[in-house]
Amino acid sequence: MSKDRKYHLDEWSLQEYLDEVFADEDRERLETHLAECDLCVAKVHSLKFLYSEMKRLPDEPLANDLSARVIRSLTLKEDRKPYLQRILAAQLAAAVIMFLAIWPRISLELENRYSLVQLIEPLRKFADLTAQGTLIVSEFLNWIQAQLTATFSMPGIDWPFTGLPLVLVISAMILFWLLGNGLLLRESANGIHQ
Amino acid sequence: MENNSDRSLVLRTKRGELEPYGDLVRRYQGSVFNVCYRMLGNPQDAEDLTQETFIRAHSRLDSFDCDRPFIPWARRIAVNLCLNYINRNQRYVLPLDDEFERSVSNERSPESVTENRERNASLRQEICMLPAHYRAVIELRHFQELSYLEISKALNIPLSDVKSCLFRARKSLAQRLSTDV
Repeated sequence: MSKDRKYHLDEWSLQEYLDEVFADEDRERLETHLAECDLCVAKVHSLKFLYSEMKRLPDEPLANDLSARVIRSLTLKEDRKPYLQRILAAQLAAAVIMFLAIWPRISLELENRYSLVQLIEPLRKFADLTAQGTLIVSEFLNWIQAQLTATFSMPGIDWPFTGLPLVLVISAMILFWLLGNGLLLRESANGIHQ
Repeated sequence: MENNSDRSLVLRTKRGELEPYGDLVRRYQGSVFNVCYRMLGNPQDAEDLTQETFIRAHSRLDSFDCDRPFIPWARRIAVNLCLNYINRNQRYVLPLDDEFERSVSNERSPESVTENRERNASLRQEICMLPAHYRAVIELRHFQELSYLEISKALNIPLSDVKSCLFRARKSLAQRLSTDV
């Protein structure tokens, strides 16, 4: 057996060899090398020692029966399900009502800045242009460019002065939403810690 | 006997009964606990995560294929929960509770018992010193005997990451154990 070799197997290959993921051909080549190289054999033994240590690591006994705790948590969760569904339904209803309540204000803001015709104008132009074929594409791009370079502003909320009621309604919606989600999260935490 | 098979217990649980699920928990809590204990190195946290594993498994039972064995699935959930727990609580490089190291049978000689206990404690400690992902791949490969591909799916990481994590974890463990011996 030759003890002095110019090259050695890398550890990656040795691990894959022990994991038995090598093709037969590679395995044979590796085993041929191992038959002649003490250093690589020592590395394999070191890994095998690690594998066997892990294999023989015994299971620890569990000190407490957890089934009662698990079932109690699940029961609590089941009991809360209808309650949660009611919260979700209330959240949804409140959100819809609040949206309807602020819609007149929003539509007023939109109307002040854009008429309906103005809003659908880009869509109409797009339809016209695409119908005219490839020649129109350049016009379309020019139009987009023109639209992008034009001053564009969203309907503003004039808070805190003229739009204060709107801000209050939106804040109330957000608060209600957060409270509802807070209850959901608390439910989840309760499910985990008994 | 069929009434108490995993499949039967899972099916009854899916129908809304909780008692069969209690039987499943009693049957497998030790196995899941040991997954958590190897991952966390602390018996109290391991118990909490075991409980959480069964609660999580129950909530996902609808997606579980009853024709497959229950425990490998539950153990994979445990690994992922422990992984998340470790990532959330970065304090998880800690020594093991010596008091809890009482795994060896009393039939052996006191010297042998002590030696074994020390070796086990040392190995557990070395595993717990590894980064979280390394621990997870070691657990799945060596204790749950999953293939590279299965580990990749269980942890939702690329196959190449599985290989490199395993490689580095083993290299680190082998080095540390060889210096301990």
